[in-house]
Amino acid sequence: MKNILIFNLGSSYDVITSSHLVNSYKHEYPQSHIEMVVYKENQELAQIINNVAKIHVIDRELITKLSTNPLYSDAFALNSFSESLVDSRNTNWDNIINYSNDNVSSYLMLAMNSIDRVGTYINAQGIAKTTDKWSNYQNFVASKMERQVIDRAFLRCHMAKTPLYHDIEKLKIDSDYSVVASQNFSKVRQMKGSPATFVVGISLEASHDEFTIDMDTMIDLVESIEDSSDYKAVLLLNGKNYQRKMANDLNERFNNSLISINVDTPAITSVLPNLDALISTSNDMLAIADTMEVKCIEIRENKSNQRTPYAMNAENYVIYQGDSQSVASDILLALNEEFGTELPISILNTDNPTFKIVEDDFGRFMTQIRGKLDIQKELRYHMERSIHLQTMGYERNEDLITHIRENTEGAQITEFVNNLKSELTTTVKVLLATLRSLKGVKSSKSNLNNFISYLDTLITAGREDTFIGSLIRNFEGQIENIEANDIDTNMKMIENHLFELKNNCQYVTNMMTDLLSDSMTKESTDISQEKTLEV
Amino acid sequence: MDERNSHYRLESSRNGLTVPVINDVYLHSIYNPVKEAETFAKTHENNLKVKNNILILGLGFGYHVEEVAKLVNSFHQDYNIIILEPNKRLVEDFINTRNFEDKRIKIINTDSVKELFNSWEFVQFLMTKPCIVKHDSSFIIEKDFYSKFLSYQASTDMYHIRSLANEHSKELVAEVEEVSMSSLFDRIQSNGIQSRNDYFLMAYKNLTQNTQGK
Repeated sequence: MKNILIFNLGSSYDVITSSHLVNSYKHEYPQSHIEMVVYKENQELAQIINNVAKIHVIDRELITKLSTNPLYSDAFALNSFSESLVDSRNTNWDNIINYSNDNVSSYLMLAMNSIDRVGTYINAQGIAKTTDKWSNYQNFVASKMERQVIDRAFLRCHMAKTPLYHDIEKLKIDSDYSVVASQNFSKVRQMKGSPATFVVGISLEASHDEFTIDMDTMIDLVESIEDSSDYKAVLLLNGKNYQRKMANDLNERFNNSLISINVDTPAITSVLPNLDALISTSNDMLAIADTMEVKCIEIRENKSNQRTPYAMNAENYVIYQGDSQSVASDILLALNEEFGTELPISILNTDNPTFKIVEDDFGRFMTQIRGKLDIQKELRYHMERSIHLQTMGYERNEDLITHIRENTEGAQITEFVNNLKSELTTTVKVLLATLRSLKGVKSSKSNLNNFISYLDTLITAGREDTFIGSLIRNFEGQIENIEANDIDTNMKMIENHLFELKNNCQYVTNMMTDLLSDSMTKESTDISQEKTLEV
Repeated sequence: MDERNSHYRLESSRNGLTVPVINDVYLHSIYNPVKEAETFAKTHENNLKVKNNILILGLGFGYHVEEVAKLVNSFHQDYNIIILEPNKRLVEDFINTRNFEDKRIKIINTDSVKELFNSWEFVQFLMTKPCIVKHDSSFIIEKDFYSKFLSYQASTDMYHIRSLANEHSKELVAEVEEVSMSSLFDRIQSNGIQSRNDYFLMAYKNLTQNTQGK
């Protein structure tokens, strides 16, 4: 039996989605015994994850209150903290996984007895180290991205060296609740006269970033759904006053004909599978539905940086709402597409970007299907995903290159490549200078300062939110990870990583060449003089 | 006889109820203590509506406590009332003469503020942010005690922390030479992390990092 401890001291979303890792791991290693450390506010959610044998709970709120208030001795805070983890400290683990990738977990990684460790940990000098290239990517690259290019569940399973399995039960379903829920939903379907009625859940809960679906959109949605003979709407609440008010207002508007269900955490996994689709902002309910492979239509606020959606299950929809007037149309259109129905759509072409989650050999990703398209941003998303996976050892995504070549205007490709080339040129110049200065160090240690200065310039370039910046951050993580004691070994390892970065830049160059050469043919643009950069 | 009770006596009010008199201060109305207590409780009604944990500073002879309890009981099914009273003789006389029937009322009799805050049970009660009700006559007599209580700050001294550490925390701080938690963290940071305990302490520091240095 393998004893596994997972540190999960992040958000409620982290806790819910860790069910992918826990159950994939358990599926891959059936003899494993998995325990988890969570904050008290997420304990209830952790309890619905399948195959977690024990949950260790840290009462962060209590500890913080005790340590902030001058009335109370620090001893009480320390007592609470040490009591929460006493069992896990006294256990000999085979593996500890830093799932949440936070500071507290990173220190705790070495406070426990374990044969192996996965993820970020803090070493004796207080420096963040990572256990492999995937966790290096998680800590140094992914943590700085608003919109993740590599699916987080896919990434974390890679870290823990298990495939990500989909067709397994990841969350516990209470059989008693389940029977009752199933009976009730049969009745709901029959309200429209057919057991084949599609039941659409509409979550009234705000997103974790405080975004809510506005009342007008709700009214439009409910009206269209309720008027249709194919659908029945169900309002989903979880006990908050603002949701009750919203449900009451809607019910008043629809002559008290709407069905509202108040769902608490233990019951939620019994209720959600009865839905044909869930419409929700980015909240716990949506994350649970997505994990349970319920069809989801996620509504997010359209900011300049489109944040990673919660709905990452294949075929789910994500709509970034810019214009609230038209978002109901986008949602109804998604329902029509999904169920082959004909709900009335008042605005056909809206500006709200709509994405669909699709899956390829490299995991799940977003692809825009409607709405205002920022082609440069989308090209970056897809190409960055492809390049990072390539740097992790995956084959180059030839299908993607072909798809872009065949479906993107040459001028757009040219613009993308030119911008990227400019980024690459600056980086490669510094990279080559760094390599040259490193050569200088080999001949004389007096050149060390010169080398450090170039290295520093290179790493600073990685702080920018650019395509190449993310490759540099990966390199920065590798440099942080060097443990050698003597300067020569140190330099050798830095040199290796510099060459690896150079190699990764070459991947980008190759990709640019392939994209550009074809777009030239297609558009006959005169860019032949603009040679792609060879590194 | 301790100094606190050098001028201590029990008198009867006009309606026959016991009223303690300490240093010539009557702890309740000598005419009608219950009526006075009803008025007293009423002045706290708004706070008692929203809080079900009550801390009363001063026992007196309990009339005000009973009226407060009646009000709290009308607003909440579940409640706790704790009375802080440093005067041992007063507490003994009260218990021997009348005492409370309501088991949700508890008297804490100590004249050491430090001892109070060293009690985890009392700290847990305080963390519920109870409604604090001051019995003015008691407060006047025990001004020093209650003022100390209201302005208390826990010691950050390692000796104090060690004395309150449970068996699990004790091993973390038992051997350390530093005089406070913050100097312990500084030492670990400057000398490097040397043990599993150090890692654990640094995790604790990070959990509370915005809250250090109180």
